[in-house]
Amino acid sequence: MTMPGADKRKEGHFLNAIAQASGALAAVTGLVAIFGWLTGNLLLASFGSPVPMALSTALLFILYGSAVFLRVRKPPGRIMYRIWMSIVSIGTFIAILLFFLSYLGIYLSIEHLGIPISGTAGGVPIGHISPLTAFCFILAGFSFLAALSSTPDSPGRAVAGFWLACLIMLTSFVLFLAYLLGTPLLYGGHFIPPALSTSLAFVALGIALLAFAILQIRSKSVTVEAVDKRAIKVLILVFLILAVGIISAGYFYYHSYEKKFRAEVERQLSAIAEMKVDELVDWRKERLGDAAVFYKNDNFSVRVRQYFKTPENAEAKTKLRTWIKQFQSAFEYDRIFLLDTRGVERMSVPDKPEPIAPHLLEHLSEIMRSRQVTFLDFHRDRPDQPIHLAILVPVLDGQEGGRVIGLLVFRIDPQKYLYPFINRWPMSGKTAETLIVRRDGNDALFLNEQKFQKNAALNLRIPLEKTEIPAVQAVLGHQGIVEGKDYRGSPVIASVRAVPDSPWFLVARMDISEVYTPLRERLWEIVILIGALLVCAGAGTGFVWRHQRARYYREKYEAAERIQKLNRTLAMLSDINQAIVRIRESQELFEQACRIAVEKGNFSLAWIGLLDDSTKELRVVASAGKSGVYLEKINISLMDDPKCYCPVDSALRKGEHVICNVIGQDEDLAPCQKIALDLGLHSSVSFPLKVSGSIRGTVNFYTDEPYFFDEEEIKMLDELAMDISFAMEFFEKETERKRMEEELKHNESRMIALLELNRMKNSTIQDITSFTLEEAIRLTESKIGYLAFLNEDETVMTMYAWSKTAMEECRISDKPIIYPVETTGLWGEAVRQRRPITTNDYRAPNPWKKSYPEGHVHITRHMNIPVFDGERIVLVAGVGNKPTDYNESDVNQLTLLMEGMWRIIQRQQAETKIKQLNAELEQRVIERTAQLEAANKELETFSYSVSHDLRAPIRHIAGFVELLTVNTARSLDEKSGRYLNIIADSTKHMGHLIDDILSFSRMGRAEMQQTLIKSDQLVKEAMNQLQPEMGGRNVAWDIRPLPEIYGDPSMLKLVWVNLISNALKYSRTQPHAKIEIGYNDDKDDHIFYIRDNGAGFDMMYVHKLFNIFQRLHRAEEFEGTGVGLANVRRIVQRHGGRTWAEGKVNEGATFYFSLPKAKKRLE
Amino acid sequence: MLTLKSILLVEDDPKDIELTLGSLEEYNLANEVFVARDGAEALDYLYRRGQFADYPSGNPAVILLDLKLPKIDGFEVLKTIRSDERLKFIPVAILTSSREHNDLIQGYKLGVNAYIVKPVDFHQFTDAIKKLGIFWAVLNEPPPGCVKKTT
Repeated sequence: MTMPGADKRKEGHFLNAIAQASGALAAVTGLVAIFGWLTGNLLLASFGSPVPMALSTALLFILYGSAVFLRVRKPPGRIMYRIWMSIVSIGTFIAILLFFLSYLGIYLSIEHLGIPISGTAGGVPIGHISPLTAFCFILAGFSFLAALSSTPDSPGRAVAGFWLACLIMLTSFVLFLAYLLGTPLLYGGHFIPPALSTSLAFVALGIALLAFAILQIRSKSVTVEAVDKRAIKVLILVFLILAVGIISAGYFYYHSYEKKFRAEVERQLSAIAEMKVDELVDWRKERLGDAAVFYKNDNFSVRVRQYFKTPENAEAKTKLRTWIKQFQSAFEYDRIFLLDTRGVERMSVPDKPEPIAPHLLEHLSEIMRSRQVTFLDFHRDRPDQPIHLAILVPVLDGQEGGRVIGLLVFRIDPQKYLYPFINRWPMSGKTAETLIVRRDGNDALFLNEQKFQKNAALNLRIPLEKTEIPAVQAVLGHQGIVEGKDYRGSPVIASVRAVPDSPWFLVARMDISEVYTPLRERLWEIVILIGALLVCAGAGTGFVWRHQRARYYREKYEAAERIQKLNRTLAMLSDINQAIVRIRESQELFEQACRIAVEKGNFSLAWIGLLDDSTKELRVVASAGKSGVYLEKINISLMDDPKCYCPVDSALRKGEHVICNVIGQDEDLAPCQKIALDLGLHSSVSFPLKVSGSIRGTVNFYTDEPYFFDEEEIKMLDELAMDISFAMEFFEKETERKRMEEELKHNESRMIALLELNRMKNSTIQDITSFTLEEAIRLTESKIGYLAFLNEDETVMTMYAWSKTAMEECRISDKPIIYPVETTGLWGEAVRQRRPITTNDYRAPNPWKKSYPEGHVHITRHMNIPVFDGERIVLVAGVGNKPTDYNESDVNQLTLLMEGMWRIIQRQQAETKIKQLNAELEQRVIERTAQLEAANKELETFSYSVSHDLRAPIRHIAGFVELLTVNTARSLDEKSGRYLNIIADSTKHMGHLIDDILSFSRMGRAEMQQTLIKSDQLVKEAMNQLQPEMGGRNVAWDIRPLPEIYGDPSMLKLVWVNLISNALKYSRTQPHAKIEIGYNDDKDDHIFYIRDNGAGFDMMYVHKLFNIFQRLHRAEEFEGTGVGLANVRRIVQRHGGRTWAEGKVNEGATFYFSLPKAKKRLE
Repeated sequence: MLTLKSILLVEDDPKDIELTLGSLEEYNLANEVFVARDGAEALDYLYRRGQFADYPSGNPAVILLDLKLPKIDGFEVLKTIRSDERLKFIPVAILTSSREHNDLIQGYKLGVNAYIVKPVDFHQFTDAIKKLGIFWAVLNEPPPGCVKKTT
């Protein structure tokens, strides 16, 4: 199964890879060129072409190539997009600049980037960009920018980019083709031709841009149909472009080849002509040189004169003959003969008399006048005679200015040497020939024999009007290459030259037809090549078109098939959804769903598996279709590591659908693969079923078709799985709701039972347990029940109550009451395992179960629970024979009920105990109160008597000592007086002590008032009271504002009096006593303090400070009884406050006391 | 002209009596002091019965009453005085060693005119007695029916 999306993606990847690879290739080519330039290895920059890639070109390739590469590799963000835009824009701008510079022939050395480059190729400097290259770069820049900037709104830009890339492709193709055929385009012209590497790099860049543009177009998403409609046009256009490219490449190539060939031919012709002219000139010179040997040769003249004078003189004759003969043979003269002035031939070599040609006689008379050597051009002596040339050498008498005595004629037969020489052609050439002509009147006279016309020599003459004929042009003075027609009228090309010092003109000519023969051959080759390429291009485009068509139809077919399939799935979906709405029971729904999937959805197999809550194993709950033993082999458990990675297991673990497109190829399926294949199952998909987020199982579909499940199918099935999940959730919620309702009912029932139990305060435990047991049976819908208490160490169970039904049904006469925990059967398990035990299938074998004795109530189901009090199990309650299975709710109900009952029993016991204790307590309180009262009374009496009876004697001692002192004032010695004083002082001290003890004791007993007190006022009063003690003292008082408080004014005043008095007392040693009274507000308390700078105390003893009779100073230092602070503490404590102190020896002390803010503080 | 009035001192302790009388003597008050050694005697004296039947009638200007007394204690004496039509106006000053609050309350409840705690200090004691004597025996105008002696 192929999906259009996947295909598109695949193609996208392919195009992506192409674009990246091509872009990189272009960039690398540029890099290689630069490397070549840098290392001086120009081959790397030229790839063997006559021109190397310019540095600027290389840089632009790197820029463009990497731009495409990077852009395609990773589509940019906004910033990168702008960077690419700007970089390529700059590149394009540079390309435009370079194009104009190159076009105008302005070659700036900046293009060499500092590398010294010189030299030319084909007449233009190397190292500069070709205008064509620059132009291509401009195109490339625009293509990239257009494609890059295309948006979904304007896909036209990408299309423009595409066409521009096509254009680059075309150009580069032409360039490359030109190289392929031999000559670079523009080579030898005015412009710099692009290098081979440039052409190749452009092919790469063109492909990259093309791919990029297509990607950009693709990304704007075009439907298949639209693509198809467009595809044919595009393909035709592509073909046309290719064709135009191929043809124009061929044409350009041919054109250039033709030119080249022609030039070559012309060069050959010229060379041949030149050579021949040179040789002709030489030949003539030689001939004239020969003549010069005899001309003005005295020896020869003498011999001729002698011979003429005396023809019989054999010696002269012989000598002369020998001489001439030597010449004749040596230089291959046709005939050398000697005439006398009368025109009579006197000697000839060879010695064969011939009649004298009449024109010779004319020349003779002329030469006799001119006495000059005359070159007699081609002529015939007579019309029937062969053509000869002749050199006429006058034989002069005497050295200078002598008269002509004879004429030596060197007759030359051109056939012998000249004609063959002229006619000789150094190369092969059927029509190539050399001819010499001379002007003869108004004609051009052909002087030698022609290949194509017999007896042309001296016969063929062409009027000078016929200027198209090269010979005529030669005669008219043209030099060089001419084109025209020859004497036959066939077009020729010829090199024409005048032979210097002669009337001759040389024409080296060749039929144009012959010149063009190889060219035509080449043309054919090119045509055939072009034809072949066109065929290839056509075939290629045709193939692509066919492929496109095929794909189009395939996709159409597949779409139709898909729709059919989807329809099927949709029908299935709809049916199952209906089932979901209709069916109220999960099992039925699962079965229906599977059945519909197979019947309507046409799946080969559909099944639903659910996870077992406890074992975490997947259990097949419903299936339809061909399952064979396949489903039995499925063994998936989430508890252990996956056994296989089949879709079912993976879906279960991942919680998302898992597809297996080809079962036969999926190695993960090993365990079930073969069975599935045997069943003809080839692809499958599994969907997890989730209920409130947790995976409960899977629904699985199998088909006999590989690659069956596509995206949409999966989407719909996914929905289906969700619907089933939803239904499951609904069922669960429904069940849960029902269960909750049931439980609520049970709860209510239990509550009522407990309430009832609560009312049974005064009932016996037996009543309570019986009632509870009957309620428990009712709540759990059981038939029987029992209840047993456990002893302290949980070893023995004492059966306490049986339900009525159990009692009625039981046939055991002597029921045991005591059961040791260790040996009891199944129902002891709840104690042993310390948890509720449910046995819904009582008949099933069970290791714990002991068979019950004969006559025992028949048990089908059983459930019992331990009831805990803290850690200890206090009782076991059990129920049995519920018509349906016991569940968690039953366990809960029984547990809660029994726990409630236990609490009530406990409370009842506790209440009884409390009542007992209360009574005891009351009695004890009465006793204690009486004791206390007695003690109080005693104390009162005691203090009263102390007050009365202790003070009296002291007073008496004091009184009488005083009297004694007064009476004996004069008679008593000093020592005795001192003793009396001591007694008096001691008595006084004793009096103080007693007073203080009494006040202290009073403070503990006195009733307290409770009034609002202004502390400021209280302190003032206390100070007033202490006025006597302040007499003459220099005390700096610092009394801060103090709060109003509740308390007993006289007591608190006493506190202040004590404290201030203390402060005064202990600071009296200080010259500048300082006493500070203040107050800190605490959260709950008022904290008062009094600070003095007096004697202070050692913090070591601070804990003793407030104890009665406790003194930290000696009596000599500071008098006192040690009751004051004890009183302070007592009063403050009675007010619910605290006292404490801080101090340091000789640095003063601070005494604090706190009083609670709340009024309730009172004892 | 100062009128000395008679003082009834009810005190069981002879040392106290001595000290008290010693103090009163300084102002010549001692002569007019009749000392009763217990509550019964005090009442007998006031009612002129028993051994005191022959005593001239007339109430003392003040009764200095100790609380702790043999036979009939001070409060009972006070109670009897205050409940008797003839005696109830006699100013009674409790002169006691007790500083007990309860005693104080009890005393005032029963209509005592003054409550003096006997200071332990001799000087304070004599001072207090003197002031007491001066106040009650000299300065205070007693209710009618009390014995007066003009000096």
